[in-house]
Amino acid sequence: MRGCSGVHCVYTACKSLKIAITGMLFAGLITAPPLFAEPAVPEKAAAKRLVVLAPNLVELIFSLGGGAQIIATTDHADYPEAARSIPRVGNYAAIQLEKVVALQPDLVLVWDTGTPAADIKKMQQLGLKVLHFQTTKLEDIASQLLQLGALVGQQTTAQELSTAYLQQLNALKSQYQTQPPVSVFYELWDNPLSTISRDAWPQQHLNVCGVKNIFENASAAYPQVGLEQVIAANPALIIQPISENEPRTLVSWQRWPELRATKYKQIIQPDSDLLHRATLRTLDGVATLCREIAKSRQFYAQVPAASGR
Amino acid sequence: MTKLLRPFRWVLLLFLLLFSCLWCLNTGAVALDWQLLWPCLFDQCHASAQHQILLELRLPRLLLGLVAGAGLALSGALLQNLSRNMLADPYLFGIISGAGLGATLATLLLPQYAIALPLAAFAGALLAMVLVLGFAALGGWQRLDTVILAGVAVSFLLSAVTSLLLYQSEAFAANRVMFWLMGSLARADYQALAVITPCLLLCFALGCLYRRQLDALQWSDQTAYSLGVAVLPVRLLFLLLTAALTACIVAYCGGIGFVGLMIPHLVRLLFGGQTLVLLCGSMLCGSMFLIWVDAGARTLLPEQELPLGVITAGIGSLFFLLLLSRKGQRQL
Repeated sequence: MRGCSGVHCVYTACKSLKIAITGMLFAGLITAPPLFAEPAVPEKAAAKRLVVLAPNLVELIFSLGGGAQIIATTDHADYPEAARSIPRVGNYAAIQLEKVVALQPDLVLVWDTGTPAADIKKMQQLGLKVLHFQTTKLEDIASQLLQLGALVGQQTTAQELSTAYLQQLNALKSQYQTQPPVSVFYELWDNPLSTISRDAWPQQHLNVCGVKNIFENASAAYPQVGLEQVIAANPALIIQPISENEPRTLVSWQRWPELRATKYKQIIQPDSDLLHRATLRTLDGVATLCREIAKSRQFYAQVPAASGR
Repeated sequence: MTKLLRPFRWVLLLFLLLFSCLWCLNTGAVALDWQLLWPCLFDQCHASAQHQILLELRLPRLLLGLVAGAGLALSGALLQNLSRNMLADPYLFGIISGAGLGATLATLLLPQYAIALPLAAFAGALLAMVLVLGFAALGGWQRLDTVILAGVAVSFLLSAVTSLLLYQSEAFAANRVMFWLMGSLARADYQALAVITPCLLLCFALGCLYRRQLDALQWSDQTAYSLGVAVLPVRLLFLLLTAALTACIVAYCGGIGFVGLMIPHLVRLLFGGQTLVLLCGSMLCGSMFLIWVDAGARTLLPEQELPLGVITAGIGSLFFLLLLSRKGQRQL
């Protein structure tokens, strides 16, 4: 929905559903590419002391080889392993401003929808240089890499990674986007049963894989839906993203044997840690998802009787 | 022993408050040396980071904690005396729900304007208050219970609207509003102090001025009438004052429950229930309580801050359970 930028929303949607506590674990995993709203940082004058208040930005900076420049971050910045030892200065609900000030960073990287707005304002009032980041499209990750590369003095690596990322994305699109659409239900959460619509971050992945989300036109980005609605739409495939870091319960679709997806065992469980994070690993998750969907597409192509309701 | 301490209790309380202020000023996520405190406050800091931490982060927060704690406890004390209901609370007008609705609208519609949130929260709190007092006026102000029940109903109504808005909005908005409602002094600045302090002083001054009338109201309306107290105007005046004060506090600090409910009880136990004593004691104890809670919120968890409402509700509910169990034992 309005103002909700992809990745962040997935993360928050899950958080809201789980009443904002455990969902946060997700959060660290899900972050976003930047729209540097603030003025440019001189390209060659790489900042040395960064406070990075978004786990995905931490991961991207590590991908660029600039992890050593991060002096503090928020909870859930857990990838790569080295990120776990970075000192923490708060979470999505509150930033410990005292610690940030005491660290005297050159730059503070914030995630607009995930870092508390009041804390961002206060940091600016305190004279800290704040850079804003936001992610809405898969392509944003590439542009974010370039921005971060300039920031940590790794322009060449950033250019290479960004180009490779875009090539991989375009390859996936050309391979899957034009395939016959498969109708899917994306089970974001089981209780309350929640899914995604066109403005949600995972919808980007579904678009790449060439599928038809049965709730694409819902008014909320992460709507709660009824089982009846799912049964009425009778999707060919059900996607249940799961995370190793944060186990969750799943809807037992076997209770509804008349559903096409249940009847033909077309239920897949991709890795939400990859899909819901805006990092270089996102496309690995998308590639796996597309492959699984392609298998389902193939199945229905081979069993014409199964394609009807 | 208690008798011996009696004359000194106010001095002791003031001393404790002063000590608490210094202690809380020196407590936080970043360890500062006690020896740096004095020169930093009154002369010059050695480092600009220390200066910023002490004077731009901790001091406004401490001052906001003092006035917000005093304000909530004062409102609670006034309302409990006015209503002769020891469970009366500054939030009884549905103020939190109203403020929550305002905060939700501000978060959804004007996320780019920081000032929109306190203004909208204040407007929402006033809306709740007007609705509740409107119901009370329809009932001819006969029963204060009506006000309290209307507060509950209005609270549910406004919460329902908030829930609907949040459900239709992006997921992050729900989180932001939820955490805002849990209460925090992190938004402390001198603007907040400039708004809340005059309201607090006005409430306190009028409370002192009308202390005899408020004392009389504690007996019964009939007794107060017979003593020449204009019951309805006095009650309306203080209802409006406490509601406005609470709305100001909620607008900047979010929902900090139980201070207004618990502190006056504690003061009655320690100092007695006479209005003037109750008001002064509630303000001092409320201030002290909230700055300690804030110090705890800032330091209990090593890498994050706790919302104030979590701590105040935890302490407050335990306090009440204790009080209830003691009362129950006495009745047995």
